[in-house]
Amino acid sequence: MKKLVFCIIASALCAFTMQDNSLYITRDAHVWFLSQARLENIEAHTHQGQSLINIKTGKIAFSIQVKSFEFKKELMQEHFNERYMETDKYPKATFEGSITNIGQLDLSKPGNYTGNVEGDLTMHGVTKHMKATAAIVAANGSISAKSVFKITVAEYKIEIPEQKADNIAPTLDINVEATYTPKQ
Amino acid sequence: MKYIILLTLFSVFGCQAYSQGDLLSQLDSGQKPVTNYAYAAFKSTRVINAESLENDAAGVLDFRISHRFGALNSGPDGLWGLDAASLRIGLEYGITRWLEVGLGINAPQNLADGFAKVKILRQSRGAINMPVTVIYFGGITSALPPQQAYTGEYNNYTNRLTYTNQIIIGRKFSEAFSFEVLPTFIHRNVAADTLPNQNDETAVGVGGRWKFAKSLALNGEYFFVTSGRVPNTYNSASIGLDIETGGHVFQLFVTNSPGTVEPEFIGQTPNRWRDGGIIFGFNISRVFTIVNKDYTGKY
Repeated sequence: MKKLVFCIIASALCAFTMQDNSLYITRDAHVWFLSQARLENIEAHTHQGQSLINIKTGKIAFSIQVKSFEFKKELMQEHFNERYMETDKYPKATFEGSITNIGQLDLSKPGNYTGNVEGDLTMHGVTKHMKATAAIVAANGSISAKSVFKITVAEYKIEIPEQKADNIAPTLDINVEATYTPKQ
Repeated sequence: MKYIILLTLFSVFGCQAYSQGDLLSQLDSGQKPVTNYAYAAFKSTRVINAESLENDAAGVLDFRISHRFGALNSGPDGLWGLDAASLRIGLEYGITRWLEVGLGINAPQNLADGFAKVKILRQSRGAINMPVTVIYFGGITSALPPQQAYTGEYNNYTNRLTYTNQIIIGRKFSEAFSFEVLPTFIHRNVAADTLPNQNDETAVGVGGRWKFAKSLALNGEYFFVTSGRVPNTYNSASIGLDIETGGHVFQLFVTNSPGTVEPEFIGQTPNRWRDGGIIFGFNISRVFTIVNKDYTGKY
């Protein structure tokens, strides 16, 4: 009987510790991209990136409503949604992956870390495997992460018409800045 | 004992499965609902002559040239329409996301026009569900001084004014198809000579577009005059093609209306399709972003 009680308490404890301490969440991650072409630079920002990270297993999920990206010019934003990203058809961009070197990082201890992130990026209906590094700062009660990586738009079947080749770069810099707090 | 071990294992794996499981679906489940507004129901602020469901965005200046040739049935003397022209040049500006104003001059009718277009409801789904977009359009046209001085009651400036009040109700049904209805009320301060004491005219318009390629759409519109028709005028019917190239929208169409402002094309269309009174015309819209948005979506 004692054993039974012990087991139940242990498993309940385990359940608590695993749920409460390892999952971190953000719902206002800042994501922006920069296109540097011959004629113009275009950037767009969103502050509605959502992400969950498990600091024990290193698993990461990221989700963005593509429509939430803001451009300086309304017409660009409309073309981005209507012609290039087709957001009515593909409303979300998602990333599912993990920090592959999580074994060497103890994100529960405050400090600066470099994480190697690897996983599947899905947007415009196309999923591609990708890698990036992230600068991670762990503090008491929060974890912030920054990452910059490149994507090639053609790989995601986003067509840039020939006459726009001087306006839109074939490769974009994607910046991510997120501050996570423990998931309640 | 075995059961206890099993139970423990289950609960341990169970909780592990919960915490490690599909993080993406966990993200979705806790998400606040967002409002998705319909956008780009039409490529331009005009269907052809009629106002569409689109407003110029805040800070965007739209320079428009609306040109119509003469009627096809003018025959060889009129080069089947190529010998005549009517034109509107307009400057239109989005002050906010829901308010657009515009000014234009029209030749050879010698009219100036001004309007305000106010978005009252925006079609959306998600946190806010709104099946239709509703717009109020209010316009004034004024006859400009002609070569000779006005005589009689036209000498009084206010007598040369005509007002248009219009509600536009429409919906973007799919990526390709949008449709709108336009109940319209036109008031002339001085009634037409042929129709004494009849200052008011009502009409109902319909307009739609079928976008069959990314940069191409087929548009159509029809205005049915329901009361106060000026004698020898007909309902306006138009069909055309929208071609979009970046900041330009070109609209090529055929219509039976030479006029480009509401009192003209709704109330004063002198031609009939079945008589060959068909007019070729085009609109060119070029937009300039005057005030950039900041990246938080505010202006």
